[in-house]
Amino acid sequence: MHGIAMLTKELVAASTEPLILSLLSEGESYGYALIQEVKRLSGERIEWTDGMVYPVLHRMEREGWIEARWGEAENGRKRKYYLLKKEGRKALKEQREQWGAVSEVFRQLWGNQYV
Amino acid sequence: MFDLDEAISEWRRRMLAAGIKTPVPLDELESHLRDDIEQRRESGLSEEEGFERAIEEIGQAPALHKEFAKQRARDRLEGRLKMCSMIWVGLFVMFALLAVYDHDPRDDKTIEWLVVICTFIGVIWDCKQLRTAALQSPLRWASHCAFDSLIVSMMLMLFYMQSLRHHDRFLRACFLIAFLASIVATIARFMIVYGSYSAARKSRG
Repeated sequence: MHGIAMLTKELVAASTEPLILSLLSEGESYGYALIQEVKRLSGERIEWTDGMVYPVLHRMEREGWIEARWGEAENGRKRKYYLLKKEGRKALKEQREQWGAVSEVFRQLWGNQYV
Repeated sequence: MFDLDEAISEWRRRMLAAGIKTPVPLDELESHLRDDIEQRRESGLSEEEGFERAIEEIGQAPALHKEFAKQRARDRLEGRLKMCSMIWVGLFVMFALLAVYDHDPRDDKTIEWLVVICTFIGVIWDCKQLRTAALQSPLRWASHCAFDSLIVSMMLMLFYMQSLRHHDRFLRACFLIAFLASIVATIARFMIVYGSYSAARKSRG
């Protein structure tokens, strides 16, 4: 993946919540898996630091967007799973509209120039 | 011989020392750490190397603590603002009830003084919160608070009208000043809301 720049700090910070919401809308997951999944989907251009993701997850939990439960992993260790709540789906819908608007503008501006 | 459990306990002690007090994030971070170490072992690293790289990635304790503190500060602000609203509504209901029961200020002025003092403390405290809030996300917070100010003003108007009935000029002046202060606070809030709203509209084009 050489030659492809990492995302700026600001963009990573702004996209963390909608990405977490989107990932969780596909089913419950846990911190480590979320980080790995985003890394894979972005072609390693988004590397969330662990120290950033957990505080965000905890805040989203307090906002009532997601709920957490301790469960047991396949290897028998305990693991904290996160699940999207109804409020979270609402927040995701709003976020999708906003990101969709930005993406639509880019599409119109850059559409013709893209190969 | 490297002992992973021992190493993780030592890491937990360092995190605790740095101020990550509650066990919940630590349990979760430990679970993350173990997942990460396992992944690294599968890709060929020894347990010790895996541990070293994993804790390097999870971040230094002070930085991690700062991130958690940042999120908590946002929560605290929200909580305080909610409390502001509740206090104002509570005071309003209490004083409105007193007005309905036609409390005669000639009997006892304790309640009147209580109103004045509470309102001054409230307005000062409220403005302090509002300033912090306005710096963070003006639109959301200001609209949240605008309603509090409105209630405060109504409450004071009620009491100002009542205080007109008695002759203590100093008390009447205090009521008037408190009333004006809360009006100014209300106007300030609406200006913040309007400012953010028009800024948002401008940026939308």
